[in-house]
Amino acid sequence: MVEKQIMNPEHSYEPQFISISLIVNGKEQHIQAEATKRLVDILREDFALTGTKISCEIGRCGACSVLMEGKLVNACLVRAYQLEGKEIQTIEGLGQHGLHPIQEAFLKEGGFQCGYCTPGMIMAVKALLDENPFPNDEQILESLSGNLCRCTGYSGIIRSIQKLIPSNRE
Amino acid sequence: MGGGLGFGRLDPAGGKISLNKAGKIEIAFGFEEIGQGLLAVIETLTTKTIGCSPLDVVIVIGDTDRVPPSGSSTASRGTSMVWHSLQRLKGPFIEKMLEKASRATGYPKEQLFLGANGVWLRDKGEEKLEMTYKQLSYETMDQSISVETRFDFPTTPDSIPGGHFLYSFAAVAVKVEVDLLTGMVKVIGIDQAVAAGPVVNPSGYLGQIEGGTIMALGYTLLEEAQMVQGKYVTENLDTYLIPGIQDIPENMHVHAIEELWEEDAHGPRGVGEIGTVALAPAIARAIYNATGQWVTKLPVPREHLLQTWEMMGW
Repeated sequence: MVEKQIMNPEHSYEPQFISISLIVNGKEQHIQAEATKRLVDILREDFALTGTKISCEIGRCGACSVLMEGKLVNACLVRAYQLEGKEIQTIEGLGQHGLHPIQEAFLKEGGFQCGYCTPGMIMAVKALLDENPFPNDEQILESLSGNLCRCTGYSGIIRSIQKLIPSNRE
Repeated sequence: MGGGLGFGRLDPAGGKISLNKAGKIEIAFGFEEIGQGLLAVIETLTTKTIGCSPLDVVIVIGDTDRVPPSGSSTASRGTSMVWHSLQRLKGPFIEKMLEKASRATGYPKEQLFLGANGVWLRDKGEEKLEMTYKQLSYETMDQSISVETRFDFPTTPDSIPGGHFLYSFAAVAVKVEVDLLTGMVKVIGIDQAVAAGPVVNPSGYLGQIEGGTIMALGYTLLEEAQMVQGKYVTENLDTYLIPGIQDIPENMHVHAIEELWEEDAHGPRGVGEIGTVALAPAIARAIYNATGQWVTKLPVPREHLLQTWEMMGW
């Protein structure tokens, strides 16, 4: 006879927390979080940095883009267990002392309308220009291909970026 | 859709202008700024209509306790309704302001006009600031100057549901590349000319037309909300494809045709929708010119095109 084992009905899920140390916008932070908590939720809930937006939640639209170790990532796809010792920069990290040149350019050239894609878009532009201050058209298009915008038709965004490239380009 | 929502739809509008206690000209609308550039439109039209400077103006929107009903912030009505409201407000407001200023300064109304920072005097061929708006607000503390207007945008006399009193026009020319192997259509150039009267806010205008054009590009080539047994199968942005930055044409130009007929009394038209309208037909025509085949369904069905070409022996 096989003895049936009935699971204890009071057995419930208990969240497992891990401790992580990370640097957010230049400041050292220590938090407790569930290992699989998404970076976008950590930023918005644990640090009240709501500039990073939630949209598709599957890494397609780029609204949640931030810089991790200087590289552009989708915060909806990064988990707490990946963050130990890492340096994160969000949109709030720009323009701490007046507007960042990218933000100025977006204002002047109509790089945003409703603004929902904008924090992610600006981080993508920063990632591009940090790596390559003189991108050609192809490089601009490729670098921003992960950031969707519905309002501007992208032209205002491209104009903003071209404004930021020192006029060594032909 | 040059202005108003059309026959059979509620389309109220209104605005309010006053000289507030801080000595600012306060203009209030029930509209909301959602990135379309309405605040710039309100500032530009108010300063132009009243004659004051942007520093004299305070814009109040969004707080329903403080603003009159202006109707919805949708479609192509914002710019148009702001302009129409100001046309109705300016007469009574300027009249009241000059009346008060005349009594306070002793100069006749005919020699006074509203300008930057306050009321100006035109005397013996010279113009000078006679009284600031701040000073005028002290004079009007017991009975503040405030004018409000409410109206409905005119509707067409023909009872066609959704029919408009006023239309704008646009023309689109496109250049496309059709890949006969994959059925893929790539738009490599778009020229759009829009006749909507004077451009009030160039940045906003460009934003609306460019944004509308690319949204229409999505509708024409990429976007299909598919359902199976009443449920969406295209549930997120990985399956419902909106244009990304790689999908836009290399060249896109917007031409604003600002001239209006001499006796036109309708001012600048709204441009919230017109950028979207003419693109799909232009692309369909270009595909026909390239391949001899008319597209009769959107988004352009690549598989169908390929099957047809295979049948034609291409």
